[in-house]
Amino acid sequence: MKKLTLVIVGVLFAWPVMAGEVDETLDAASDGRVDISNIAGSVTVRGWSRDQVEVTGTLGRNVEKLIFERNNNKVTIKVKVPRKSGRGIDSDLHVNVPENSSIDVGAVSADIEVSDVLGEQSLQTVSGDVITAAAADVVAGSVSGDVEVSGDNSDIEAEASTVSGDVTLFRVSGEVSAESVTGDVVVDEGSFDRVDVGTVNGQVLFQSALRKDGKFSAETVNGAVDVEFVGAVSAKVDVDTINGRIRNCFGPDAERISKYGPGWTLNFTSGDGDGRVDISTVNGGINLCSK
Amino acid sequence: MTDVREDKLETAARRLATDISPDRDLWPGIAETIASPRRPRWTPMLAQAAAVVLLIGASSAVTYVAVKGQEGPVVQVAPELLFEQASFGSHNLGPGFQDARNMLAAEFDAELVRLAPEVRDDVEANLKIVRIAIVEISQALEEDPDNVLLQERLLRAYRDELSVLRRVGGLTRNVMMRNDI
Amino acid sequence: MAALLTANSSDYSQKMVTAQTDAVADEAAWIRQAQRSDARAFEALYRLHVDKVYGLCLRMTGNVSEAEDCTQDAFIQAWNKLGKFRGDSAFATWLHRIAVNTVLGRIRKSKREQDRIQLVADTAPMPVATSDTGELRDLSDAVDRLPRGARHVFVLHAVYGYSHDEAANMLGIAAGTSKAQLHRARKLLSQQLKQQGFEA
Repeated sequence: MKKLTLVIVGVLFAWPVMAGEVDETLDAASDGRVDISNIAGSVTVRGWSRDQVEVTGTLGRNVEKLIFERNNNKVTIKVKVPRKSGRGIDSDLHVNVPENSSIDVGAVSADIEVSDVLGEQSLQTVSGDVITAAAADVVAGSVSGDVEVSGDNSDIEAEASTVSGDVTLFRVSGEVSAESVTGDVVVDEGSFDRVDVGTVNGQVLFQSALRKDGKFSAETVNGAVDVEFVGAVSAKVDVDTINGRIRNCFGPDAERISKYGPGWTLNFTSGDGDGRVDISTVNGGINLCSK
Repeated sequence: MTDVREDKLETAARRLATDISPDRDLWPGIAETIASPRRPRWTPMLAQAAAVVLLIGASSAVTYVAVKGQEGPVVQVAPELLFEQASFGSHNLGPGFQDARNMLAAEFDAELVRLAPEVRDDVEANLKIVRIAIVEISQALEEDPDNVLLQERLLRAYRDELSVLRRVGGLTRNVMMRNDI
Repeated sequence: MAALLTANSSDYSQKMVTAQTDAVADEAAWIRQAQRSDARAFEALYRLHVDKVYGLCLRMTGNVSEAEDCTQDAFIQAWNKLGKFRGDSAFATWLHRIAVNTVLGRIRKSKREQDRIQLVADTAPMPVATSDTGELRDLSDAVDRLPRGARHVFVLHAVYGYSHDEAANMLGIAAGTSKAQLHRARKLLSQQLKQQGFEA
């Protein structure tokens, strides 16, 4: 008996309360809103079937506190740091939310990862990657980092952008805008009414369908554009480069803009011409095909 | 079995095209470098820091210093003058544009100081890339002033710069200010 | 129409033969002039050889962006080293060596600088738009996806026809390594193409 007591006491002292660990739960609306702010570290959000928001993870040692509260339909999670925050504020948050919630995540120096959330998403970080699976409208942005949005081919409005990094949209459908400055933009296996993609230094790779009346625009300054429309395209097509060849597998051949310059242009109507396809580069070749 | 397939592989490999035309004419880049060997290489594709066009400052306040040719004149261009240059025909980057840019620029400058050094460097490097594009296109336009495509590209390059200013400005502040309790 | 084509094509092939002989003679003259810093002569050499150099760069890097830079760098290097060209190998071969060196040099440089653009380019190759069609296209794409070392050897040896010794020399590796890399390339390609029902 004495021995047992000693062991228990030992255990209690061996595990001092860690101010950094978080494990809290709140009841929440099944389709409400969850706002999450974390300056540094990481934010991982998962949708689940409970009408609760659960936050687990670790807070940096200099974090003032974790704000976690509910106001009717809105749950707020915020890592509060001292004004002049420097070191020791890195916090890793794992947040489970009711799957029909819409979420708004803001971070500065943190990666954001989201899955199984069916509501709208707004995800913004400054330095870090944003990776999400989207079933409803999504705005995902970074400055220094990649942005990856995968979908289930249901129609949504997706906006993905970064300054230094790649933007990848996979099985996203509906309307999409994606931009980078240094980095590639890749849009695969989707089907669209509107596409607005571009980068300054990098490539644009597009392999998806453009619907009837669809509007497609892709541009780079320095970089190639490779567009493969899945299925037929019914649009007025305008493609041009200042310096770069245009190769197309449908429609007439491209023409030189001038006898002396290195630019090419391609203008024609495909199908009934009810949509629009605009592709342009300054320095870069363009491949255009429809299969 | 494996040998047969490997022989087919060899045969097929020999049939692969060995002569492939580049998508764009690469000679101009080469000609420029060999013509003035002492000038650092200008490679538009990577848009590395070029001595041909030197951009000072990474904040919204930018001075464009365009060095034309090895011994040519050094032209100092302030952003406002560059914007004026981009007003042609039906396209106009007049005072409305200037005001919008000033607003975004202020937010952007404030944000710059809040960013971690690596991120700040990243943003500066990218802004430089966008501005190099602006100057490249402006230079091309000077040699071919009636080129409508170039005019459109120049305007879009200015828009790209604005886009970076807008996307970066106010980010950190927005996160810190959220639901400030 | 067909008759016209036949008549023209025999004229054409005659012209081609003449043109080729002329070209060989011209090339020697251009090289001499270029060695005296005549940029126009060098441009003629460029026009004559760019497709092969670009093809080599493209197949070795598997990436359009890299290949364009590599091609430009290679010709610039060639210009700088023209004085050293003695004519004991064909000019094309000499250019190819420079191109291979350029590819290797850029890889070393990107490893040192950890240039993000370089890394992205290397790990995410864009489908190469060449004139290969059908199964050759499949093979071309599969080659682009080979690991770097195996790809370099396969391109030089199997596509461009350099011997193991020559390829090893250009790549700065031992001949044995070159053979091992080729074996690896063949294995990987066979597997890849078997999945696609490759039938040469």
